Amino acid sequence: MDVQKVDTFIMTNGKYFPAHQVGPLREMLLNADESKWLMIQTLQFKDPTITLVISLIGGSLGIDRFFIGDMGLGIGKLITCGGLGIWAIVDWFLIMEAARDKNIQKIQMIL
Amino acid sequence: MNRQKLYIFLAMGCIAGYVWLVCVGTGGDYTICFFKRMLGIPCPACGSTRAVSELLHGNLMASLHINPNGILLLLMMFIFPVWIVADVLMKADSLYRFYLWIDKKLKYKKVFVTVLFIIILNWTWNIYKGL
Repeated sequence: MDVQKVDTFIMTNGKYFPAHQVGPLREMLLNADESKWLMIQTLQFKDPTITLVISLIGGSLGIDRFFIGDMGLGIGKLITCGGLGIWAIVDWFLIMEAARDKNIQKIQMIL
Repeated sequence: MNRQKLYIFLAMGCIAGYVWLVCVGTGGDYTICFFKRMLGIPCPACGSTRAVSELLHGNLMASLHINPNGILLLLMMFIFPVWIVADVLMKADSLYRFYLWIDKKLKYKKVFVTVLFIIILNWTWNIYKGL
């Protein structure tokens, strides 16, 4: 794909992906063909900051996990009262990276 | 979430569950729920510890009355450790595939909404009981 397009995409969306995978992602985008561009444009990524806010507010109900698409873990968190509160606290630190991991998985499915 | 991470996570969860039961059994404050501490109303899982406690004493009806969640949690605490050990010994991943299957099923709106509805019903009952 066109270098300018890819760089613009990386500039606007880089924060949604794990830092160490932005480089490889850029390579994958450069090597991908134009047809994928339309599909990529339709993708919705989960903002890690919003996810963190959700985790701080409703973490013990598992809402943060539901938000990023981890249904099984979300239910588990819900029925164990935020994993006895411990999981809820641990997730405050893990959830941003988890959101970024989900985002990179989403785009890698297309590329 | 790969096989190894899931198994370690579930194993630690079960251990934490057992440790929690022991701690509570020796007398202590049950209320670890952020939700209840901050808002004053019980969360969907409130009463689970008491429910599991009743089950371990053989009182099924009492346990159901406090929180049906207790049965689910106790079942998981019994089955998961055995399942994990079996999978590790046989170098299989049946529990991992089960987890992925549940995850996939929950992605369907109908399934998710039904499960959520049941949980909210239980939650309403919790609030009504004044847990």
